This record gives sequence, structure tokens and C-alpha cells, in this order.
Amino acid sequence: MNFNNLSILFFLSIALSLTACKKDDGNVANPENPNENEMITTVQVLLTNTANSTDQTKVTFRQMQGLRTSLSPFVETMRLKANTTYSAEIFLLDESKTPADTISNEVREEGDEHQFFFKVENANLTVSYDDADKNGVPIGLKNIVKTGEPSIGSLEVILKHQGEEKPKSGNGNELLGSTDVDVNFTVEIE
Amino acid sequence: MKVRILLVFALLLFSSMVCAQVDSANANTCRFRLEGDVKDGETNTILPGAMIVIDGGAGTVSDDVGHFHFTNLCKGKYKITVTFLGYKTIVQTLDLNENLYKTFILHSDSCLLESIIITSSKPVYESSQSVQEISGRALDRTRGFSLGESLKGIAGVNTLQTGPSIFKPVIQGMYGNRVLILSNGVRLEGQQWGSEHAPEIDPFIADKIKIVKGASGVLYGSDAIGGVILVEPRPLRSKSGVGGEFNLAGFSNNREGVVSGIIDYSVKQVKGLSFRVQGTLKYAGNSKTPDYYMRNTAFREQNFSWAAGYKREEWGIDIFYSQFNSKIGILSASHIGNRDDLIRAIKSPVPLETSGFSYAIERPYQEIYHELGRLHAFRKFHNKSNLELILARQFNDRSEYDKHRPYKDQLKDGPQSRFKITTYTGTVYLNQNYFKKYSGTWGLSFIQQANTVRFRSFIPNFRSYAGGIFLTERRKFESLELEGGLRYDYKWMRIYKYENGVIISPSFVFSNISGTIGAVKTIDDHLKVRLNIGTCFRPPAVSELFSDGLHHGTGRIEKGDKKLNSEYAYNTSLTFDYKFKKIYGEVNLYNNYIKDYIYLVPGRELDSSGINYVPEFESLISGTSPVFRYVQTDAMFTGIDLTFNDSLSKHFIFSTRLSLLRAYNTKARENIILTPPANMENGLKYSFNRIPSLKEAYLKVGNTIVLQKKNVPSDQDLKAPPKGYTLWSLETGFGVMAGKQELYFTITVYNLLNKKYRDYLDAFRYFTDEPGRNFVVRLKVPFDLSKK
Repeated sequence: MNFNNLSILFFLSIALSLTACKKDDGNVANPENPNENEMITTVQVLLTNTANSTDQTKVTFRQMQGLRTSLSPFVETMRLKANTTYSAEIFLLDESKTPADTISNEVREEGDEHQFFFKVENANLTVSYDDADKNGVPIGLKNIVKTGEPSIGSLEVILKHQGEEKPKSGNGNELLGSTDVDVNFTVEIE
Repeated sequence: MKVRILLVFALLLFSSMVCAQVDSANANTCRFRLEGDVKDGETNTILPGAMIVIDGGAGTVSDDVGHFHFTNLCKGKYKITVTFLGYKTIVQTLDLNENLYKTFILHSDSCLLESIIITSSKPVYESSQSVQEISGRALDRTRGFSLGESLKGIAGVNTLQTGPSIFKPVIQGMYGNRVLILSNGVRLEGQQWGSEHAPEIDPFIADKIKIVKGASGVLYGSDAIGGVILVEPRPLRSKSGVGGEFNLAGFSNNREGVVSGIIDYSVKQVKGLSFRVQGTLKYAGNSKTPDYYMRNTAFREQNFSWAAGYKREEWGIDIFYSQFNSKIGILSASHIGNRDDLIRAIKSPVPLETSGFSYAIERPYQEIYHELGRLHAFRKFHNKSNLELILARQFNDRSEYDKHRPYKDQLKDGPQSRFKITTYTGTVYLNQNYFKKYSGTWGLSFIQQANTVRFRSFIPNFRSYAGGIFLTERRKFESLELEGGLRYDYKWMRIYKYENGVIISPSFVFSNISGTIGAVKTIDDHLKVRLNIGTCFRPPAVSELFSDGLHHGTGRIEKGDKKLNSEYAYNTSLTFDYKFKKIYGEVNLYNNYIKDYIYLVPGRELDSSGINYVPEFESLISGTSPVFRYVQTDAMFTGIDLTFNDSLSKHFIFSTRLSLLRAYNTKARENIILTPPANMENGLKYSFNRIPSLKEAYLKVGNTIVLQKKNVPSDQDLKAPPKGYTLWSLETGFGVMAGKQELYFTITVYNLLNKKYRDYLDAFRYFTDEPGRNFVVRLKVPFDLSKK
């Protein structure tokens, strides 16, 4: 290698590092408002009586995660009529923004990567899926809820992000993926 | 059984020390020492086997690392002759009236009338701390490894891992913010607060890596509670012409390829003007345990650096720039949403997600950029004093991508958190020799930092300014050297963060005095004793003050405490260097007491009855997780590091490295978690020269024994420490000539028996086994184009 080649190499690397020399673009004294981040602050379940569409109940679980000043979340109790069939739609909201972002729209768009799972304890309640992704596997944003005799218990709503792992057929597999949402509602069937 | 092995070694060591003392009786008045290194002036590599003769009489040969020494020399003039076949002989006269350290640089015989340059001739300053070094062939054996992994061979140095690609060095049980890394004389400032944040350094820059064990606050400043790692590049080329080195490495387990090159050039027309360019590429796929591939553990690295310098006898100036870029896949199965996922992942005997081999990196991954620019200048004075100035700017940009992409389209391919930190450092040293018999280093240092955080803010923005002033002095007596030092540090920091919707900006001040005293006593040819007592402080890291949120790797909510004080370490270390006939090595005993040691404990709160304390949990929308809080206690780190070598015969060397540590929380009266279990490394090396075409050929069998960590509190960890393990390795190394070109090969098989094991200091021990068998081939090609 002669002198010229070497100097070219050397000056090339200097040029590279000059262009590379990066600066901190942020302003230290103006931190980013945590509210500007994307987060799920709210889970809402809208239950509509299939026999009477004016009979609607909406229950909310809300926690402003980015502004965790009050630690305990706001949770409403799910009060349902006995021996009734409801269609239940789940909304995920980011209420730290104005207007609130509806994150559940994105979950629907990426239905083949996500799935809701439900766990009922003590209440006479069954949940069945009423939607499906492009492969025919349930997503769980829309469901049918059937109540039985009066009872008190709980309903756990879990959203799993499963990415490519989500099954391409069947009814889904709860054991896969990571948990995006895991909230508990008290259920009272009267 | 294992305990018995340890006992045998302890006994062996003890007996060798006794022998050494018996031999110390024949003292005499001629006590001066002349030692040094022999190097090749073209390739700047060490030269083992060079002959060094004083006054045509006593002679010695430079050892494996190019080192030689004469002891018990009387005061007076000596003529020294250094010869090595194929090189020009050096003849030099020197006046010996103190211990001297000399580096002789030999130049190839074929080059015409190049004057011989002896680069350094300085009195030897013995550190009273234990300082260990990796260089030459020992460093060649680690080429392609990350910095942390390269240091594993030193007793008392371990690594804290996050899977097969992220290694943080651990010195005598301490890591992260408690270990300082100096790259080319500059404090490395990245985001060292996270256990999954590896040092942003390309080890190929280094010609030498030194470890200073124990608190070293006076010379290096705050934070150096556990020790200091010095990454030192070789000096710029002094002889005119072009030279350099290429390194190649291939790894079978993750099918990794590494290419690195360094080209040095010294201008013939302008004496003292030199340039260097250097670069490294790494490309690796998924690692494989004996049973399965670790999904998404591929990584890439691209680094380069350049330097230019102008050096005269009395003064010199040089600039250095380096850039580090890496993208590291994080084991898919380790990224979890909440506590339940984590417990499920831990219970599963194999990772919940495995895969075939792939070079692809998918979410989750990290992307790290680090650049360092440095200006260095020195001026020498007639009385052997000199003044040195180092100014540097660093910029670190770290992005973390979660497994789950953000939902919104505009954020979709972006990271979930991003940290940028800019650091300016300045240091002035005066190495003074004004007063007879005294010498020392005085200095001033300054550091300014600005940190910004985007997206998920685990730590806040901050700005800080810190300064230090220090003074160390040494006094030499015949066989005794005493040293002492003092330092004052001041740090101011202001943080900026949102709380309840408004920006708050509290400021913090930390200031402290640290000190050190030490002694080095050369008892005789066989034994040297070093004693050091030093203190050091560490202001709480911003993560310890302000963490607030779910830590994805551990499935817990971590909370800082802004009322934390600085940690203060009182470190005592006693080191014996012994050399008795065929046995040589080092024993280092240490005790590091840390007042106000900061660590994480599970939070406790009163239950509904108001009487009993129960674990504290917090509900997030993604589920419920336990709360861990940063608190302070007092801690005692006590241990022994042992290096033992026995030249069994002309061809065989047996060597052992042993480290034992007890890390104890003296307030809670329990052991401290995540400190290294007892571990030992043994090697049997057979050097041979039967095959004339092979140079420096050897075969080596190695084994590593790591015991199970015992008696750690179970409520601070999710899983009990894994069982101990034993690994075997096999290695051969040799140099061959391909025409006129020298080639050095090292071929190693790590984990020879394909052992299935988990390591206590690997954060992914919850999820996966460690990698299985790994064949590694390394090739070093030194070259010099000015020879002809």
C-alpha cells in the first residue's frame, strides 16, 4: 500500500467521523411529557343485552400509568341481569391524550398477532368469542356473554401479544406470548 | 470433593510462601532492579526469547510476554546488549542508581541504518494494589470476545451476563457503576446503570488491558469502588513506514465471523508524525445450547477508530477518535409482559420460544452507538517531570426495542426507550520529580454530562458538573516504597422530570474526600508484599435515585429513592507476589467495607389488619407486579484471589486461578445476591518446538469449576441459584511462516464436552441453558511493508 492510498483511507475515516459526530438533539431542561408516550390507560367493556339493545352497561378499568400518582386503579363493578345474553365489546383507550386514542382499533388491525382470554371465578357467567382474525382464530374484541343464576364473582380480561406465535387455526393458545393487559372486574349477577 | 481440591491448593500455596521466606535470609546491599520489555519495532509486538546481557556477564532471555528482569544489581554503570536473531543488536550504557524499567525496541536487521529508539526509560513505580494485565499472546487468545469476556481469565474477575452476547465485567464482586473503565485514559461514560448494558468498547483497540483491583478513588475519581479497567492502545508507530495487523476469528456455535484490522503509518519526511486507522466487524447468529437454539440472540458490531500524533523528545500531541455501533438481539423468551408470564417462563424447562439457526435480529433488541474523541498532549521537563493533558468528548445513544411494537403507525418501528448522554471530560496530570527521593502525580479533573430520555422514561433527564483535585506522592527506600494520596471531589446534578403534570427540577450536591496509603516491600528475590488501604465514594446513580417503573427483564416494579446518600468504600488489600524456583504467582487478600451500600429489596407494606407486613405489589394495566425499592445498608466484601503457576518441566506449565468471595450485608445479616460463587480455572500447557516450522507452539487443556452459590436470601430472587458446573476446554496455538508472512493461529474448543449448565451471574439463567460446544479459530497476521 503506498502513501496515497493510505492518506485516502485516513482522510476518509476522518470525514466519516466528522459526519458521524452526533449531537444530543433533546433539550435537557424540557423532558418529554410521559403523556406523549403510547400507553393503554383504560379498558372498557360495553355490554348490550341481545334481547333489548337499549339495555347497555359499560364498565371501566382505568389507570393513568404514566402519571402514577394515585396507585390504585379506578375499577367499576360489572352488574348484569341473571339468565341474559349480552354482546360484549372491549375497547382499549389511551386517555392521556386529548382526544383519547382508541388502541383497540390497532389490535383489530393486528388481529393475527393478538388474542383476548377470559377467566371467570365464582360467577355464573360464560364468555364466548364472536370475532376472528384473517386465519379464523378468535381475537376476542367482540364476545357473547351469557349469565346464569344470581351470583357474585370476578372476570379477568387478559390480552396477549403473540406476534408470529399466534396459532393459524383453532381457538388460540393462552400460554403463548406476552401480556399487554391483565385486569380484574368484580361481577354481580342479579 | 470440590472443597478438598480448594484446600489442596491453599496448602500448596501456603507451603510455597513458607519456602520463599526461608530463602530470604541471604540479603545483600546490592538491591537495584533492572527490568523491562523487548518489542518488535515494526509490528510493535512483544518479543519473547530475546537475549539480554549486562557487561558481557550475566544474561537472561525475555519470557513469554517479552519481559525480562535482573535483580540484586549494585549501583554503577552497566553496558547492556540486547540481541535477537534477525534483529539489529542494541548496545546501551546506563547509569543504575534506582530501579529502572526499560523497553527495548528491536528493529529488523534488513532495514537500513534505522536508528534504534528506546521509547521509554522511566523509574519503576510499583502499585501497592493488585494490578493484573492481559497483553500479547494472552490477549490474542481472547480476540473476537467482548471486553467483559476477554477479562475472564484473571483471578477475581467474572462477568455479569445477559445471555450469550452481553457481558459486564465484575471485579471482586462489584460491577456496573462500581467499576470504572478507562478507554485510552478517558472514563467511559455510557449508560452503565443497567445490568444488560455492556461496555461500549471494541477490545481490538487495546494492546493491553489492565485491571486494578479494589477501591482506586484517588487517581481515577469517584465510582471506582470495585476497581478500574484500563484499556490501552499501543503507542503510535515510531519507525517510518507502514505496518499493522489483521485479525480474523470464526466461532462455530453461533457461526460468528470477526474481522479486524489496524494500519499504522509513520511519515518518513516528518519524523515523529504518525497516523493510524483501525476497524472491526462482527456478525453473529443465534447461539446454541446443547439442546436448542437460543432464539433471537444474533448480534452485529461495526467499530472503527483513527489516530494521529506528532511526537518530539520534549513534547507531543495526538488526537484519537473511535466509534462503536452494535445491534444485539435479546432472547425472545426473556421478554415478558407481567409477573405471571415471567413465572410461566421460569417454570418451563426449555425457553417458551426456540428456533432454528438464523442471523436475523427481530424484536426485542438493543441498538447502541458510542463515539469518543480525545485530544492528548504532553510536555516533558528536564528534571524528569512532565505535564499531561487529556480532553475528551463522548456521546452515547442507546435505543431499546421491546418485543411488542408500538400500536400506533407513526411509532411502529421505533424504540420503546432511548437514552442519549453527552460527556465532556478534562484531566491535567503533573508527574513531578522536583524533590529528591519523592515523586508523585498531582492533578485536576473535570466532567460535564447531559442526559436525555425519550419514550418510556425509566430514568429522568439530567445535567451534571463534577470536579476533582488530587495529589499522590511516593517515597522510595532501599527495598521499600511508600505511597499516599488525597483527593477531593465535588458533583452537582440537576434532574428534570414530569411529576403530576409539571416539570420538577431538584438539584443534588455530592462532595467527598478520598485517600489512599500503601507500601510495597521487596522482601527478597522470591517475595514482594503490597499493602494498600484506600477509600472511594460513589454518588448514587440516577437510576437509584429515580427509577420508577416496570423492569422488563425482571418482571418487577423498581423504585428509586431521591434521599439516598453516597456510598463510601474502605478497602484494604494485601498482595503477595511470589516466585520460588518453578512456582510463581500472586495472592491477593482483600476486604472492602462499603458504608451505605445501595441495593434493591422487595418492598413491604402493612396488610389490612395493620399488624403484619406483607410483600408490596402494584397493579398496572398489564397486571400485578411486586415492588422493589432501592435502600442502603452496609456491606462487607471479603475475599481471596489466587494466581498460581508451576513450571513442572521445560515443556509443561500448570496454572490455577482461584477466587473466593463473601459478600455480606452487615445490617440485614444476610449474603448479598448476584455476587460470584467460588470459582477456579486450571490449565495444563504443553509447549513444544519439535516441529521446526511451528513457532511458539503449545497445547493446552483447561477446566473451569464454578460452585453453586449458597445461602443467598430467597425473597430477593425468583429462582434458586443453579447448580455448580465444570467445563473443559482444549486449545492449541502456533505461528507459521507463509512465504515471508508470519501467521499466528489459535484454535480452541470451549465447552468441550457440550455440557448443559446454567450460570448464576447470567440474567437469562431463568429461561435458558448456556451455549454448548464452540470451536473457535483465530488468526493473527502482523505485517510490515517497510521491510523491503
